[in-house]
Order: sequence, then structure tokens, then C-alpha cells
Amino acid sequence: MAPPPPELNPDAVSEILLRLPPEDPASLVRASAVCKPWLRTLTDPAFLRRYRAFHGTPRVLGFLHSRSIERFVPTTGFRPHAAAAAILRTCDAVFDCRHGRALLYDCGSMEFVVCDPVTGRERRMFDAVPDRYNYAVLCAAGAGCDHCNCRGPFLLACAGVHFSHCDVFFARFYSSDTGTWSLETKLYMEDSQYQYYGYRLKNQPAVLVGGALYYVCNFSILLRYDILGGQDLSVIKLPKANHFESVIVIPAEDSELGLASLYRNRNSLCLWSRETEVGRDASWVQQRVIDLNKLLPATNLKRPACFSGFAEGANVIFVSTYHGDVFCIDLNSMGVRKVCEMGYGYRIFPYVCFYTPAACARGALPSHVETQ
Amino acid sequence: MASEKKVVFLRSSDGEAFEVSEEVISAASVTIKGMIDEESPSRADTAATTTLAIPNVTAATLSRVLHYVNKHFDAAAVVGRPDDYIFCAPGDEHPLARFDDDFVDVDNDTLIDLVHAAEYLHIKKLFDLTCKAVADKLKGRTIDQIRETFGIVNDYTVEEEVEVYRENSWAF
Repeated sequence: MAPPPPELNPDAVSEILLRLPPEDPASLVRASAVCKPWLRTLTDPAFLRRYRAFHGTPRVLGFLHSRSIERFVPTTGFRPHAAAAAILRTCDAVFDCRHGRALLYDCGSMEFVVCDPVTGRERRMFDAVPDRYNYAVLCAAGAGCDHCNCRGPFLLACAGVHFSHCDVFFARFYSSDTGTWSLETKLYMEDSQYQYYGYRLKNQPAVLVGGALYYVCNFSILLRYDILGGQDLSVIKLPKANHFESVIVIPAEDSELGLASLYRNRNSLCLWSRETEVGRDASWVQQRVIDLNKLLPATNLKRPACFSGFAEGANVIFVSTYHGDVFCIDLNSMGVRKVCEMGYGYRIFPYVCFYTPAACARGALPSHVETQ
Repeated sequence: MASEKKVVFLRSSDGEAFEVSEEVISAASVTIKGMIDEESPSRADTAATTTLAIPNVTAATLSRVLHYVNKHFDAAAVVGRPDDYIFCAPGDEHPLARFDDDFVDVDNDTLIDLVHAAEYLHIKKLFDLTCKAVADKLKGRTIDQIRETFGIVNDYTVEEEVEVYRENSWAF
């Protein structure tokens, strides 16, 4: 009989497991099923901290959308937990996905469902049919949490234009901690020029930058809801360019507010940052212009492309072309990948996570199912 | 300078001695640098070469380790930016990237011996390289294959296993 292979010592095991790639979550799950010491290593909080530090930014494991019944489109080997998959199938719309939590709406029971794709845990909140406003979900801990497998309370933010006064923005939020909605914050727009036509939020996901949610609106403005700060509303004018096809908020390199824009005629992707100089008003500064024809070769760009979503944390932007191809562009590496063919202009809610077996045990939501 | 040409002998667990430049091995291995520093007061005034016992590493493994060390840490042999090699993707032009790929293209037992030797000798670059190579070997293997490769005894009960498979069926 052949001699038994040399046994790995525990320190070496932890170093080896540390190097399993986050793009292949299945290899981590399989490793955890090898033996209990490996499971203990993979679920040790100290190991998880090292794992996240070693691999840098979390990965986009897939994305959610409302286009078809298969609401989760994987971009890696990860698949939602069976219970989560069932929730995704039965819910009627996807509203948001952030900090390991998917926000869905179940028209049958008239409930919001916040669901953890890793564990399938859910939390439901009754609410009347919410179609006219923008809803976003986020971890309530704000900057105090790295949002990798965070499990604490969450906030559900609602923003929009007042249904009877089309020059009044409002926002409010639901706290899972208290189980109540906040009072409404209102912002009266005084610009009579636009009053007649009415303001509205564009049909694209809100983006969280530095504790505030940003919504792209018509008339080239951004609505800012400082949900984790003073909870006030304000508006910011977009750069002067009427020929933008599509605009999405992204964090700039110094974690300040930034933008990505697509020009209607020129097929170029432009990155902006908001800069404040002492004694002057903040202004938009163009940082980089990227030729989309070079970035997305062999793609028909005769008709303009548009932004479908942005993966916060991973810094990946989703662009859909007029012919329905969806590409993801990694803004750090400028790597481009076609992810699917879905159609033009659908909203995409990326699922960004460091998937580790511990995420199962320490899911993003409390273990019990609550209905309120 | 005379000091640069100093050599030390490393004696493996099975008694074979290997000659290596003191400067090179000190740059590579924290453990051996420590041993040399401990020895140095007593040998400052003698011309005798030092022999260090490496009781945890066999001759076969030690010769491989020294091959790696001479390639990576001998300033005369290193081309380009030695510290950047680890960030080179496979297929990159860095001359040592190809060397490293070939170096870890060995059977499992040899690789595990190298991991332990790199750990014991505290050669960080080699430890990173070999751990990464073992992690790459885990990819795409079934659980039974992993257990067999690393001689691991399954300590899950049947019920626990069924539970793990059921909870994460997508991963298997």
C-alpha cells in the first residue's frame, strides 16, 4: 500500500484556504465540507477578516432584475440558496440589492420582502402597491460596517416626487430595528421654469455614496438623500451637457461623489468627480473619457448604449446596448465582459458579496421570519 | 568584499549537506538568518564555515528550496523587478513567472513538503507561491478527491453531510 500523503499542518491549511479565489465560491463551500477543522477555519471571523483584506474588493456574484421569472443572473458559480431562489420566483418585482440584501415586492401579499440570497432568510413588511417611487435597501450601520456578511438592522429608503405636487421631492425610510417609517422629508423646488412639467426620478437604481443615496432625475439634476446623516434632501445640478444619453452616480476615486455619463452621439464613456475648492462652489471635473467603440469591440453601437446598474463596492458598471447585450465594465481594471442578452434599459441590481461558508451561518438577516 | 562570498552549509534531516551563499540565504529565509545571527559572535574570529542543521526538511525538498532561493534571491541572477513577480499573471513576460509555474508543477506530496519547508524556513515568497499552487489544485476537485490528496479523514456524520449538501447543492 502506498504511504499516506503528508498531512498539512493547520497554519498551512489556513494560508491555502486564504488563497481560494472569491470568483469561485463553490470551491470554498466544497473545502468547508472536507472536514470539520477546515470548516472551523473557513468560518472563523479572524480568517474572514484576513480573507477580505487579502482579496481587496468584493466580487459581483450575479445580479437581479425584474425582466423575467429567472430573477438572478449569475456572473460566477454562485447560486442563491434554494429558499432564496423560491422567494425570487414568487416575488413580482426587484427594487434594489445592496449590502447582501435583495429588496423585492410581493404583489399577492402586498409586502416588501428583504431577502438574503445566501441563506434564504427573509423579512416582510406590508405596504400598499409601491410602483411610483424609488425604493432602496441598505445596512443601517453605515460607515461602522464593512458590509461583508453584515447581519444587523437595515433601512428601506423611499424617495420620489409628491403625487399631487410635482415640484416637491420627498423621502422617508423604514427601519427594521424599530419596525416603523420615519417622517417625510420634503424639498420644495422653486424653479418655476420646470414646475409646469413636473419633476421625476429616472427609472434607475439609487446609488449610495458616502452615506447618501443619489437619484438621477429629469431636468439634469441629482436628488441627494442624506439618509445616514441629517436625512435632508438636496439637489445637485449635473454637468452642463444636454446630449447625455445616460448618467449614473459612482464614487469618485477619493470616495467623493462622481458620475459616469454616456454621450448620445459620440459613444464615449466619461467619468466625472465633484470637486470643491475653497471659496468656490463645488463643480464637476471631467476625469477620463473612454471610447466605447474600443472598449466594446464587435458591438453594434450605431444606436446609443445606456447604464443599467452600478455595483457599489466592486466598482463595476453595467451597460446595455440598444440591441440588448449587457456588458459589465470593471472601472478599476477597465476589464469588460458580456454577461447576458437581456434587452435595452432594464434596471440591473448587482449582488456584491464575499461569499464564504460562514456567510451561511452568519447571514445578512436575523434568522427568524418576521411579518409586520 | 570578502563577506559577500561567505557560504554556509545546510544539513537536511537525512544528513545531506548543501552549500549556499550566506548573503542569499539570509535574504530569503528569516529562520536561517536568525540561526546565522546567533552563530556569528562565535565565528567572527574563525575562518571555519558554519553548518546549520535543518531537521524538518529532507534533502530532496531542501535542494528544491535552494534552487528556488538561488533563482529568486541571488541579486546577480535576478532580472527585472524581483518583488513584482508575484503579481504577474501566468503568461506574463516576467522571466521568473515561468520559472515559478514550472517550480510548483510537481506532485502533491512534493508540493506539501515545499509548503512546510517554506513555512519552517520562513521564506515568504515561496510560502505564498506554494500555498497558491495548493489552492489551485483544490479548484474543480470533488470533496473525496481533496480528502484523498491530503490524507484527510472525514469527520462529518452522514446526517451532517446530507445537511451540508442540501444547504449548498449549487456548489457540488
